[in-house]
Amino acid sequence: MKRQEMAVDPFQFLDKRARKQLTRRSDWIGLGYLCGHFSAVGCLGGLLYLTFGTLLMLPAMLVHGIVLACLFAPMHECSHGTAFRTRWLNEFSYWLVSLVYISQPTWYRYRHAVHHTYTQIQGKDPAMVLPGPTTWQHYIEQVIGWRFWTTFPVAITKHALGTMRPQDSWYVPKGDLPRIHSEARIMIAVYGTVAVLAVYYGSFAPLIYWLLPRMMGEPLQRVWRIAEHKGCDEGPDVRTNTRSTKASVLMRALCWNMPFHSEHHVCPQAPFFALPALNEIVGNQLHPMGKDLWSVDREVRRTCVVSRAEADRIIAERKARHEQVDTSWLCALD
Amino acid sequence: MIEGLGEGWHFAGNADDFEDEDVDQVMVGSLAIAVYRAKGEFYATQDLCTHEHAYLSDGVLIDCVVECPFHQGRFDVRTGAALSAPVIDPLKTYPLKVLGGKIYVHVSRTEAEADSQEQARYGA
Repeated sequence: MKRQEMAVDPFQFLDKRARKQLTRRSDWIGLGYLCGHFSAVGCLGGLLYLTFGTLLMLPAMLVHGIVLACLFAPMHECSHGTAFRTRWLNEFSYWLVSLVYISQPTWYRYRHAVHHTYTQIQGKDPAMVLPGPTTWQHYIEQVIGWRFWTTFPVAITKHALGTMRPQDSWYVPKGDLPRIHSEARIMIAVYGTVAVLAVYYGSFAPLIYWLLPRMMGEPLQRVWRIAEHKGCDEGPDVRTNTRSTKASVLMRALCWNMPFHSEHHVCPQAPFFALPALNEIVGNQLHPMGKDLWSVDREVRRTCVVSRAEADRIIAERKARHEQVDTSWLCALD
Repeated sequence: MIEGLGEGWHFAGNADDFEDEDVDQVMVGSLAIAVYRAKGEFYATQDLCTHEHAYLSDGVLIDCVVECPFHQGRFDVRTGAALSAPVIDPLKTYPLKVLGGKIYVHVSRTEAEADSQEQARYGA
């Protein structure tokens, strides 16, 4: 879709001077957030170490995992190039965070660009969460992180083998495939080295301090992804296809202000720290803000999740009206 | 034709109107050109991003790199080179002169027509 074909030109909301002000980047703010985030990961890893072998180990692992999984926020911010003003700092951090989060930098950049172009368009938006009709099975698969684990690591593995998931090939330019393949091989080499060292030293540290908590923390991220778009219009209007949600100061810090998601879609070039100011300017023209994460999730479950029989009936109706329905979601995970 | 300059030069604004890291759009017929002030120097490129329909003059200029407002693809405004995904095709650059505080870009008539058609492919 060309931007002019979108129902609303997102750039109409701000004049040039306001945009220049709001899109100004800062290395210091980016570094503050990134160091803070990694310090939290380190401290909670320490807490996990101290509680090892006790009943407190599981909650400690969960909290550590939630903060680890929130590294999605800097990964996403760096993919836009808005985390820092200095380019190399942004790209270095992008690689570092992507390695920990298990996401391939260049592939994610292409995928995420398409998500911004085709937000909420069934069959086009590769990051579309729970395209309707949504059954309980799909909702649970999303919330436990199954969809993430069967997409991101699988994509890296396929790229390292010199192939690509068929659903990704239309938006990744052929000219950039060599880079995508080499990048994935570097990532696999890093993960492989960690695995070999762990086996050599007989250490479970990568499992205990990284992979298990990472899996335990992912569901919260998945619920955030649901809140960002699910239940909003499935159409090209940026005012109605994305939702911001109120969040505590702590959650906003951990998510690098991404609960202001509508504002991010209106002006993706605005850095995370400018989103509250952007909300002040354009918030009243956008989708009503969600009360809080759990209220939004409850509302999504109440209004969007249906039985399999009902899903089949809706699909049959849509097909009869020749509407586009992404049925791949019903038979195979992305 | 502008006095003192040859064929194909077009007035593109006053230098004083540009702060550093400013980018603005100039129309030559139906062709959109982006004019930048980067590190004190002026540059001109095609305004339409080579990735999808968005004008770089709506974007962010940091040092000598312009960032597309839509997907944050990046280009070096001095050479037009594409620097990072999702952009891979370079921008066309145009010669530019600053004379007496006035900015001029050079686009010949045939070039403007051809580039306008190319731009129309992207739906501008």
